Amino acid sequence: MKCDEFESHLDEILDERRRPEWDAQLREHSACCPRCRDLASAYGVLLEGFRSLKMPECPADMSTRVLESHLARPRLALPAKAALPAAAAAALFSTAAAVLVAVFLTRDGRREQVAFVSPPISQPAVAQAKVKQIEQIKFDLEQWKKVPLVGAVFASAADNDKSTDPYEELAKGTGRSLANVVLRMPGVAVPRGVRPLEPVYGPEGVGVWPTHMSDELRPVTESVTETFDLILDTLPVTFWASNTRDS
Amino acid sequence: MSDDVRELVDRCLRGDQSAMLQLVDTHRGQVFGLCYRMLRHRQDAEDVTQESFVRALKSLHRWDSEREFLPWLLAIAGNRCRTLLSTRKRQPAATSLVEQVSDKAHEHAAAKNLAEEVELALETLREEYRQAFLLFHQHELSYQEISEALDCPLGTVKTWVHRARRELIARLAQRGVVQEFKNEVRRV
Repeated sequence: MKCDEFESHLDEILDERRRPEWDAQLREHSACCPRCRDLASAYGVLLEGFRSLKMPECPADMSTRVLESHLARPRLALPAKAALPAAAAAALFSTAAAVLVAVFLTRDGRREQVAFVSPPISQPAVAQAKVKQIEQIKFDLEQWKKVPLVGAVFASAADNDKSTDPYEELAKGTGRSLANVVLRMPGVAVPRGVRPLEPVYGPEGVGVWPTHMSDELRPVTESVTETFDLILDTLPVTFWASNTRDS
Repeated sequence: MSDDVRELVDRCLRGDQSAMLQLVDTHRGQVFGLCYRMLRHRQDAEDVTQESFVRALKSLHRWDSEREFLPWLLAIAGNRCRTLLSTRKRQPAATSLVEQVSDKAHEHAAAKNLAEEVELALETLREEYRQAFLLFHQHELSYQEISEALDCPLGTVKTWVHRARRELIARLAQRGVVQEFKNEVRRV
C-alpha cells in the first residue's frame, strides 16, 4: 500500500465510522511509514477531541417558547396536505378517462366518427354578432356624415331663436338645459341612465337621436364605475376597442 | 423511519399542541447542538433553534414522510445558522463587543484541553464544511441523508466532510496538538 492509497483507505474507514487502528491494511502500512502512522493517529486525536466536546444544555422551556411563537405568528392559508394529491388524482383520473374513451372509440374502425376537435361552442356566433355590429356602426357613421348636426338641430328648432352653437340649439330644441343634453354618438348603444328622445330628422330625412340624462342620473353618476361606463358608452371607445382587439 | 415521529407529525398537522411540544422536546437537543456548534454563541443558538422549530412547524406539510425527519429538521436549522452567519459578516458591528469578548476571549490563548482545540479548529472551517462535518460526525447522518437535506450532490458532501477533517488536522498540527506532518496533508 502506498501513502496515497493509505489516505484514501483511511477516509473510507472513517466514512464507515470504523476505527482505523482495527484495520489490518492500515496497521500494516503504518508499521513501516511513520508519516501515515502519525496521520492516522492525528485523526484519532481529532475524533476523540470532537467526542469530548461539551455542549451546553438546550433550555428546557424551548418547546413552550416555540409553541408560543408558532401560535402568535400569522399563518398563510396554504393548501392542506391532502388537497394536492386529491387535485392531482382528479386530473390524472380525467386524463385517463379521456384516453380510455378515445381508445374505445378508435379501436374498431370507427375512427372517422371520432372528433378530437373541441366543439364550436360560440365562436362563430360571437364573430357574426361582432361583424354585424361593426357593419351597423359603419352604416351609422355614413349616415352621420350625410346629416350635418347643425342642420338637424335647425330642423328641430325651427321656431326658436337660432344661434351658431349646435349644442345650444339642440338644448333649446329638446327643452332642456344645456348641461343635461347628451348627444347620441353614432353606432353606440344608448347609455345606461339616458333616455332617448324622438329622432330629429335632417334635410334628407335621416334621423339623429339626441338624448338627455334621466333625473336619476343627475347631477353626476353615483359611482366611478358608472361614470366610467357612461364615458365608454357615450364616446366611440367601444368601437375603437373592438377593432383593436380584433387586430 | 420511526413511526412515532410520523405519528407525532400527523398530530401536529392536525393542530395538536401537545404533539408540537413533544416534537420539539424530542429534537431540541440535536437542533440546539448543531446551532451552537455552527454559531459558537449560546444566545444566538437558542434564538436560531427556536426560529428553526417555528419554521419547521409552519412548513411541516412539506416534509416528505418517506424520508427521515431529523435530516430535514437539521437542514432547516443549518440554513438558519448560515443566514445568521452571513448577516454577521455583513454587519460585524451588530454583535456587541461584550458578547464577542465573552465568547471568544480564549481564542488566542492556549486552549486548556483537546476539546477546546478542536472547538477552535472547527470555527476556522468554511460554513458548508463545518455543517457537513457536524451532520456526519455529531449527528451521525449518512452521506445520503446529508445530501438530501442540503440538496447537493452526495459526492460534494463527501468532499466537504473529507476536507473538513483534513483542515481540522492541519489546524491541530499548527497548534502543536498533533504531530506536524512532513508533507502537507493531501488535498481532496
